[in-house]
Amino acid sequence: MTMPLAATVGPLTTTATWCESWQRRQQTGSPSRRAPRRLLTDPIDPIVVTLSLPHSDVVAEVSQPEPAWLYSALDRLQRLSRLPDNWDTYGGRPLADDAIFTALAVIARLLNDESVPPAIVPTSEGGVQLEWRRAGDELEIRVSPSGQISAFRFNEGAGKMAELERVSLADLKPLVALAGRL
Amino acid sequence: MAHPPLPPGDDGTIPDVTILWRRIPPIWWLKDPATGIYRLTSEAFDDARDKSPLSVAIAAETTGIEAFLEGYIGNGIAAFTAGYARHTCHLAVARDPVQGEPWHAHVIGKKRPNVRKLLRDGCTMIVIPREE
Repeated sequence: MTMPLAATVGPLTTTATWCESWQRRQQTGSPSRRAPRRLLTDPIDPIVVTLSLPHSDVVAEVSQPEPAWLYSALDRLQRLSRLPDNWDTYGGRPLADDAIFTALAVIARLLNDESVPPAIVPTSEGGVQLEWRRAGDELEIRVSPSGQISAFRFNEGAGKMAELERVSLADLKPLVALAGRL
Repeated sequence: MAHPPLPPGDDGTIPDVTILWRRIPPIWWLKDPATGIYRLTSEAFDDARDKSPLSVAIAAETTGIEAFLEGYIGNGIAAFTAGYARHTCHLAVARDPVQGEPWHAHVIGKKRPNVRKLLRDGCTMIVIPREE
């Protein structure tokens, strides 16, 4: 499977025009910010993007050509990262950086260049839910504020339902098996 | 086959035919990237972050849609019956009147993904939220 998002740590060396919007929002120099975090590995001739979150940055190298879903996913996560307290009017928490980082890493692991992108939804507890729905088949992946992953798949035609809990970013094999080709 | 028991706290004075309203902020009304069609997320039917049960209104005890949505610009309303919550989702329904909201009620019980899905699929959107 293609893994279009790849990794780097540290300052940007290459910045393409399309990622300027994320660059402009970057909040550098704050002592409370964590060091940028690594996302996947070893692209060839990469483009570098930075997703600037409230307390940290995610720096990713993207193999060219970029997958079609990339910018919409980054835009959505960037927007959700700015949600205020009580964003859902039921007391919802702002999204945790760990949840956003993990959600992006899950997307990068599961999707290839031609994949259908997920709907990305904030959860009231400050996590992220990724949703795919098509023709009676649906998959929901939930990332908790601490980055713990759970998943739910329901196939109406087959009458099958499956759940995964406590999946970690370090071992996404069960999640990949559950998700199949997206 | 007998239904599993409801979670503790069900209020039997709320008949099964009672219509319950759940207020839906626009962020839960999604444009699906795959289809471009707006739809509701199951996340709209989880308990609150402080783990208090799902908040709903007993529709007949409100003073109408406009009053119910006053101050919540762009919000919509999803409706389902107490009987659906009880007998399909195996959740309890109980009154929880609060200051200024005498119609407030809770839908009690664990909101596992399949339960959230049942609520999402079994509700009727009577006011569509504003598109984000």
